Amino acid sequence: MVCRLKGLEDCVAENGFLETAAEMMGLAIPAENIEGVRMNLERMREMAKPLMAVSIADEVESASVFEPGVFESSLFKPGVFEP
Amino acid sequence: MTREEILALDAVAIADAVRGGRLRAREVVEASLAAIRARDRELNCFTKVLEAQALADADAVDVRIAAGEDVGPLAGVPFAAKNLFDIAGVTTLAGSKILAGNAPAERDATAVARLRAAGAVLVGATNMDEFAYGFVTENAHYGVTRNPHDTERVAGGSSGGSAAAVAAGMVPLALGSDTNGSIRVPAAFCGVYGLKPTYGRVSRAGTFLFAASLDHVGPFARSVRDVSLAFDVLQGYDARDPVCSKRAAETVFGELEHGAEGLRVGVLGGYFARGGVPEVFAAVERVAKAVGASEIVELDGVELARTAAFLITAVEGGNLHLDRLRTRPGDFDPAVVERLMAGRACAGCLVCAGAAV
Repeated sequence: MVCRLKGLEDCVAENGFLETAAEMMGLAIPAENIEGVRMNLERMREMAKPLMAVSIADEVESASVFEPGVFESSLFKPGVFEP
Repeated sequence: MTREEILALDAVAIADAVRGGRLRAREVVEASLAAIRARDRELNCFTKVLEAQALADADAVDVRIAAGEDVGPLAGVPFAAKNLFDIAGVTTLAGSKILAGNAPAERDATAVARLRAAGAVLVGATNMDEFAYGFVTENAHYGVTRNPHDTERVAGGSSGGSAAAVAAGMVPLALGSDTNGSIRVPAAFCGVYGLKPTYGRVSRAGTFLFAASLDHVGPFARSVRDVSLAFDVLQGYDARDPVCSKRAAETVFGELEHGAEGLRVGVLGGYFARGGVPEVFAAVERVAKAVGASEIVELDGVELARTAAFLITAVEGGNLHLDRLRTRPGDFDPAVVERLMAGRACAGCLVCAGAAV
């Protein structure tokens, strides 16, 4: 696959990545949208650069699930609040 | 009380007057509907006004109050919901032309149902950016929502219809959703209060999601006490939303009387201290002074978090809409379709790194 060999930056620049990705997901991008999609892809690449430069520790790869507090079920009861 | 006087009340004052028998819910809802008729042609906040249903619901509130029942803390308060919330009997649009052909929703979204259960009266559904992917509420299918303070300016988005309806005095309370700022941005643009609650505190069941790992729903209002009361009514566990927290609801309305007492409030520095215009920093300084905040706080990684949210949103949104992108690309809003296609094309390349950060 193009990306594995050259990386996303080269793929986008050489007009190969978008066509390959679209084909893989069965998406026929209308001709009038191709340049716009490519521009958005370029923007994502630029946005991603600082993110991709961050080295992530192995133990962080197992994403945590946010749960703010103990598991204590309490259903809302309408009418208990006095304005 | 004149209609102008009614429209100047916030939700807490309306509910207090209705519960106390000094004002009928029907009078309040009629005033709200009159305000919508008067200004919505210009502002385009609403995609659907439920006039007959709202009047019937208001009458039902009045009947129950006359019978001595407690109808709830939002008795007779008119409210609106962004058109991605399910409303029983109404097709959920999420700002899309494609969804307009869907069958009407069979039941209310949980947030809508909870406000109604607390005595509030739904008057309509509001305009938004298509599929909540935008910050301006300039919708190719349903038009531009204008800022009530200056109709040459945008209302912000994607919950622009809800924020503008509150700012224009059409309703004292409205629901919106926020993935990357879609409550906070239009609230700021329209000069009203908006609350993006902590993830999982308010159920999203019955809403058309955008990027599920970042989506929140919350209220707009014209006073802090209204936002806090609405939050108390909305919050709490709901089995219909798999990410809804099972933590016991902690009410906040009653805490307002304590002011800033006992709170530690800091001012965000770093990323948040750069790029703003002087008027914004002056406003932040005034608020900081009012609540006694003097400490500057810096959060590590906020710029990376913003980048990650941008990428996760694009990829999750593109993934959610893949079937529609395949079959009806020409029926999307042009401002949205290319971003979704790019996001879907990028899936897997970047999102894992973003999620980890």
